[in-house]
Amino acid sequence: MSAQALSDALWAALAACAVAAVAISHLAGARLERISTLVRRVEANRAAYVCVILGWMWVGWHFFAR
Amino acid sequence: MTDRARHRATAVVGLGAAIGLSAWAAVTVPFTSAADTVTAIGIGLVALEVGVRWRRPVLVGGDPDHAAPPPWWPWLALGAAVLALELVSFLSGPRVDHPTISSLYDSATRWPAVRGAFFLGWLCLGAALVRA
Repeated sequence: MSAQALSDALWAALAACAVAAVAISHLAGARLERISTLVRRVEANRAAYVCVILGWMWVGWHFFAR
Repeated sequence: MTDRARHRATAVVGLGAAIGLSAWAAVTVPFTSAADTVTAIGIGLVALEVGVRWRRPVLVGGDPDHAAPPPWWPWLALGAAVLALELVSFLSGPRVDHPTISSLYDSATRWPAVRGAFFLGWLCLGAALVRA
């Protein structure tokens, strides 16, 4: 297997894990916290909230502007 | 106008603005003033909403169906795995063999529609973070 194929497979596996985690967290009686609840919990701390928002801004600037 | 109707109207206007900005972003190219402008508008809109909501109390509620909140550590493990693969890819070469998230994004956004969809997703994420 080439390095490129291995990298692509790893990224695809992580993406699949993320999708599966979101789906599992939305099942009734889920054993995984929903990401929205996790974000709410993090954002209850004002400093963490500012960090999350600044992170979102950086992602946008990095991908769409620079 | 009731609160519910006002809330719905705000959501419709917000979604319309997000779609319009995304259509604009779809035809921009990074490192141009147009790309800077459309991204800055998106950031500015969310920053404005953050400012408006800043003084409101933050409500943290769990799922009433669960006595104890379900574990969150799998999200941390997933984030750590993404970060690790990103670092390994970044420090390895060549980039075509070890793509980073940025290079995967660059490959995917050769098509303007995909770029617009990513921009819309980014705006929706920002709105969700503000409303969380």
